Amino acid sequence: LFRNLELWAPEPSAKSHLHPENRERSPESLFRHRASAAEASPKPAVEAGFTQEGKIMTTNTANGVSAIDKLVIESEIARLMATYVHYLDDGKFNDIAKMMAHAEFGMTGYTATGVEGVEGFLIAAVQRHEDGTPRTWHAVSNVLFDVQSRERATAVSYYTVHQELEGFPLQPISTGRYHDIFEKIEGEWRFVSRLLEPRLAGILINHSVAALEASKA
Amino acid sequence: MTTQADGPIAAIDKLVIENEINRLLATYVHYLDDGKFAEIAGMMANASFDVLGDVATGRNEVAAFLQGGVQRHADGTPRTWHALSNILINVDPAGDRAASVSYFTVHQELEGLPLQPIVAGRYHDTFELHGGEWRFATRAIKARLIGDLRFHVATPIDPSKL
Repeated sequence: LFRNLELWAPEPSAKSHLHPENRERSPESLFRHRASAAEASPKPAVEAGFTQEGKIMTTNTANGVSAIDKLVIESEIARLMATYVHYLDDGKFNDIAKMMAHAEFGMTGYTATGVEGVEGFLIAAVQRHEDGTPRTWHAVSNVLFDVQSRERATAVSYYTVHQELEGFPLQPISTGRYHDIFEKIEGEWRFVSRLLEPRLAGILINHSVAALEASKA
Repeated sequence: MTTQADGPIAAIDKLVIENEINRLLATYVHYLDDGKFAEIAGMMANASFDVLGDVATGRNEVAAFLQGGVQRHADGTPRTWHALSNILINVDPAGDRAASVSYFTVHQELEGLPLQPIVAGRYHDTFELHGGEWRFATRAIKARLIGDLRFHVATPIDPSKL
């Protein structure tokens, strides 16, 4: 679960002062120092993001992902993950299907691919109620990202689902993990795989179909 | 973009450190809900761990503390689901220490206990940079809302300690 420490982008404005020695310096002198160090050794081969003295390095990792790249990629992926649950709880299955146009989607034994496949899967598997929504509330948490390259990343996260509708008081109905793979396709980050790992199950009679419930065991 | 934060470290340093700490926080609960107590003890090998005033320090004590204090059920896990939220992280201006406060909301389900929330509270944590890696230095668990904990903790919670 632990990924390697990532390294710094050599952005001219990235002022790293983490080493006590650097705290004495002005940002300008620090940058000059960095620049001259970079000239002397254009691509230091380091395994982790810190030198032995604990100083953050301003170089890229072997896979070409700088620290700032990583933060930006994680932010884009986090947005995809949040967008998915907004659509789901609003019953916007077609919008989810479009998000999954390049993806395998489902859980072990029940997967769908492509816009039509995913939309059909959702319509068959997830109940929508009088207001057109599933009356669910998916809270995503504990996301563990792994940015593998500038074009590929994975994430494992938790979902905790509550539901309320007529005759069914507000209560938790399901928890589990999303196991996701993302790729940058034509300049945009997209899902290429989303597989659910159900864990704790409550009363699912108003949410999913019997076949999926049976698969939880 | 990378404007200066309040302290000597740059804004980008702070984001990177917060990212590392978020990962530690999430990793802990993944391990916990999978019943991987040895892995948690490894994360806490140099930390002190305070649960309502009972303190364990270091790998062996933390491992014993978890084994003795947290129930695992038929599938080898506690059958819990810890969702973290509202994470506040403060990075020390020197960039080698940090503190965080976060919410946990725990659900549980097993035979004899329908899925339900069982406890909510805060983690109060400190972290330190050691050998280039961030690690826990202290973790204190403060429970706030208490549900049915019969299948989670080994001993009943003393309300006077909350």
